[in-house]
Amino acid sequence: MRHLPLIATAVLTLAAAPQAGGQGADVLLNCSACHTVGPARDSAAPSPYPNLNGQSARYLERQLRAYREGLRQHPQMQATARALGAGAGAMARMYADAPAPDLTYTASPGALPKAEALVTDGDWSRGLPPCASCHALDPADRARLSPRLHGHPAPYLARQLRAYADGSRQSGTLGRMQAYAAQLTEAEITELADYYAAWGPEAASPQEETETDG
Amino acid sequence: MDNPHATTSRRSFLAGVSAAALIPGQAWAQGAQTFEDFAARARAMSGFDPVPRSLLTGARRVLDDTQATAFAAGHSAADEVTRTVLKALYTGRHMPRDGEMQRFAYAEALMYAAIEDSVNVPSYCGGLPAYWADKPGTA
Repeated sequence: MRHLPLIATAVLTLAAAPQAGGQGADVLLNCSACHTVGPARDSAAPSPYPNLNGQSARYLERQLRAYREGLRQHPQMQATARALGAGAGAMARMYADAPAPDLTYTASPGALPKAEALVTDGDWSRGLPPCASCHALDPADRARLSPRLHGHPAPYLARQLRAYADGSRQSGTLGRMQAYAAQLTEAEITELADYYAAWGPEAASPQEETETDG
Repeated sequence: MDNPHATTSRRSFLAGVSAAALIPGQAWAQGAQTFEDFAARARAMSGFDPVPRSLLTGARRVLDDTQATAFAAGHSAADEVTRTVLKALYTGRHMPRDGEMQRFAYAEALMYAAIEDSVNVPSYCGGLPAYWADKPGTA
């Protein structure tokens, strides 16, 4: 009988193991824990994760596939994409059907001159078309296939451009973004990230620098 | 119950309903198909998941309720309707023989999704402005 507590502990541990596994899957598939569905719960504290609401459905599905196939690198997202499996389409549809955020440009015009020039004019001497030719000037413009960049956190955007430039992100169609980002200087990457992050709810404060990704 | 015509009428109605249930093809017409049923069938038939909502709503709009129900239920009598839906999803437009063309999507049309790894979507800039005005290098 003196071994009873030990046996009981072992039995409880074994019984709890499947639940722990299930809980892990639940956590992985709880996308809204990071990527809020619908309007942000607290606009005073901007999310460090990209806002997926109203993003192109096919873009979202392609990114999940890219995470699954290792064309995009992020431990949490790769595990989530693998756990989602065939449910990736449904998850992409859910976010695509959620209302896109209502964004306005909150920085002063001219405050980010390098970025503004690249967004509206590009730099043809380096073969760089304007960012807006694919990603639109106004976030409400949904006529293009390329994802909306407006309103995403600056650290996230900068990391994606660096990942394209160093080849660790290879999900860009026809290699366009890899070629584009490889031409950018570090200062341009920073300004472009700040430019798109400056799109937010009216009178919102600039996004805080964080080290999260998604 | 005293009225023989009423009894006959009820009997006829029940017989009619029973007979209708046995007629092949009527079951799908009676089923309450929703837009989500239509969308699920469209995804299955097109081979794409997800299909942009602009395409789904556009394709649904060109069908009447009976056609949409038949398509959603996958009834074989709806083959022509299926072709109409797939054309709409892949081209982003509906072009009836005897009516005006309706366009409900352009870049999102599935024909571009099918080739996006090798061909730029038309109207996207493929080079320097006015690059198209120069002769090809091999000309």
